[in-house]
Amino acid sequence: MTEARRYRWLTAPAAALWMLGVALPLLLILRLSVYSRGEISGARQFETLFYQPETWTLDNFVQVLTTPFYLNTLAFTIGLAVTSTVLTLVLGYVVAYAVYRSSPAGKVVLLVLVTLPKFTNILVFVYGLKMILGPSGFWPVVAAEVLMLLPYAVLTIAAALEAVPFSLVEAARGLGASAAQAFWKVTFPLSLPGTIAAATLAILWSLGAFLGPYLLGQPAQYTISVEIDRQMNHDLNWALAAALNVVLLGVMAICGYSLTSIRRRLA
Amino acid sequence: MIELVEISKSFGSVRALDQVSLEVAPGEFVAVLGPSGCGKTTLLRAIGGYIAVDRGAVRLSGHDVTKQPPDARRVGMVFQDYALFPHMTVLENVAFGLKMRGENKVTREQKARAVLELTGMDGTEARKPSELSGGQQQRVAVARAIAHEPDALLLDEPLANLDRNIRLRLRDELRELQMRLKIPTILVTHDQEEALGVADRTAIMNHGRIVQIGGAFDLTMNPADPFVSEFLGLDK
Amino acid sequence: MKRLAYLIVGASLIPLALSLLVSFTPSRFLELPGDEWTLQWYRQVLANPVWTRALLNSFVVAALTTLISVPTALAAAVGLSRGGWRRKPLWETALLAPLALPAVAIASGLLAVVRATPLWGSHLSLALAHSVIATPVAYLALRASLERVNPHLEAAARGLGASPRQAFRYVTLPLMAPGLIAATLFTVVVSLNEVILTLFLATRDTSTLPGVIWPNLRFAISPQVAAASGLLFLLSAPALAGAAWRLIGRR
Repeated sequence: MTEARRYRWLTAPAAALWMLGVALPLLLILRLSVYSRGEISGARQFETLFYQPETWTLDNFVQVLTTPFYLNTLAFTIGLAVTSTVLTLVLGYVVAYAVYRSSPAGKVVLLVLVTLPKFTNILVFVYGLKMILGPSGFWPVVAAEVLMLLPYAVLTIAAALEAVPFSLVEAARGLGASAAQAFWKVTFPLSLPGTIAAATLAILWSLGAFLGPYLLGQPAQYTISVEIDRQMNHDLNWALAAALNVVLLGVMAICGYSLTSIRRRLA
Repeated sequence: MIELVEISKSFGSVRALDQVSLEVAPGEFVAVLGPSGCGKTTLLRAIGGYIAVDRGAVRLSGHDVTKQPPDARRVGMVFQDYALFPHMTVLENVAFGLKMRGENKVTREQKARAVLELTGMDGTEARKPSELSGGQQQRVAVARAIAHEPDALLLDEPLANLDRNIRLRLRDELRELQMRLKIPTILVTHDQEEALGVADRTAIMNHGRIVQIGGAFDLTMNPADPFVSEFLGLDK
Repeated sequence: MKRLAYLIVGASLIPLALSLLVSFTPSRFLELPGDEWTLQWYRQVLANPVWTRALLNSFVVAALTTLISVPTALAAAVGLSRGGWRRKPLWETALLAPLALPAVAIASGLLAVVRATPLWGSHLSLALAHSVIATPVAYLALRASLERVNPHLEAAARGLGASPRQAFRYVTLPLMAPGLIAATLFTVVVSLNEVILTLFLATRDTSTLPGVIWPNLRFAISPQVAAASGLLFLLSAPALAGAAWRLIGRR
């Protein structure tokens, strides 16, 4: 045990990077979200970040949660995420099922082809999409999101399917089930926890959608993330950007938590 | 000389070793026999230094090594899966112990070659373990374990993964080699025939204790209790 | 069913193929090259200091990111698997959290942190930001390869006189080579392709290729952008080939 204890020090660099790159930024976002910047704007805001009396306010949240523009943006973000997630799951399941039923060589070919886009730059990818889909709008944005999410969904669902021995399906067929019955009564329920894991991943990532909406959408398709970028880097209202971040993280936490507890109950 | 003085080891509420004492004289070959979970592998790991005993003492060639890690003990261990380093050649595997003890390249290769010859594996120096048959891998594992002239040779079911014919031949080779080198040796096995056929003395273990220890004749003629006679198949 | 799956997968590859093809077009517009293929857009990109500096920055930042992420992830993988942690799943989830968090949140938080330090505007700040995302990815590759090493091997090495450090150095580490290669490739690919952190944290002097492609993609679409994207793909291609080879080679 004492020897095991000594190994724990090896996690120190990762812990340091985590504190610096994850914990500190999130804490700073929390602080900024209740920050009253007064007349100070732009990059100078960080100079007054540290505690000062009378720089605490809930105005940023009030602004986010009462302005129709932000509420619409939030509703659109959630709607886009749900649409993308559902489409991703359907298409991902089809591909994953094909992987499941392929020969070992076929599995490798399919999986390599599926993951290929992930090794290319997202911008290369969006650039090509722009050429195919022409004018920007809602469906090009959805297409971009689905294609970005697809590889992860396929990998997660395929892993879940691989764990279902095909002999179970054969046994069901032997007991008189049709192919469709065997699928819906045996294969699908057993792959459901993995499918929900894929759904969790897909909804979390599409709630943060940024590149697709920005590059392929009209302003009507701008998401919370796009608005955060605008407040952060153009309007230089970091406090409002932080409040938007907190709201986004809150929505993600709710989605992630509920899907995870559904998966727990199934497993 | 291997000396174990009332060593005990518990894992949670399970007593894996319960005041085990055992002496193995230089050149002696002792087999430890028992059903799975009787503590025989724990015994071997305690001698090798892979687990720390709760109480008692382990002495090798007169030195108390109870508190020492494996690399400070001079022990040669042969694992059931041989644990040959797959990225090294046969020669590098056998010379590894000498390298860790700071021998220069020429000396350690010379010694490793000699040991390989002793185990009948000369000619395979440049091969990788994956290119060898199970029996050959076992011989290389034995060569690696004895190359650094250990104070004790510990064999953890070294023949379990082999075909019966090869097993019998390797068993006899192993014994012959051990008699030439005069290293005190402990063989852990669950195979009565293997234990009784090769060892000077056999220790029967159950529930972390040595129930009886003696030669094949002793054990079969005077089993200490019903467990021993049942385990040795003497009831039939 | 299978035909449908190949159709879906094929469709998902079209954007990539198109943008690569367009980079060879002789036209000034986004048209597919007909009979005539040209490298003129690549030549233009490589002659333009804005692009070449971005290319150089991409190399520097990817190299720094690899130097930070891979050792950090390796140490974390060994420390987590051998530390005898009671709440290992929790710590592992925390370590992997950057993969689930929205990039914009991490990026805006990091911007606020980095602006308050002298690191602002340095390659190192960008590499550290990329490492926040790349370390969990490298960790996943290294954890898998560490788990595949038979623990008896290190035990055997210890018995032959190797200290814990020597046993790791001579036995486990060489056997983790495939995982180390994969982790390095993934890290390079993550860094080369990272857009959002780059947009938020890079300055004009440190911006990597995606950061320079970005405004061009929004405002001025020309085959030059396709060529720059093509270069980026070319840079990631060896990593891609390596990963594919490993995937097939393992079977």
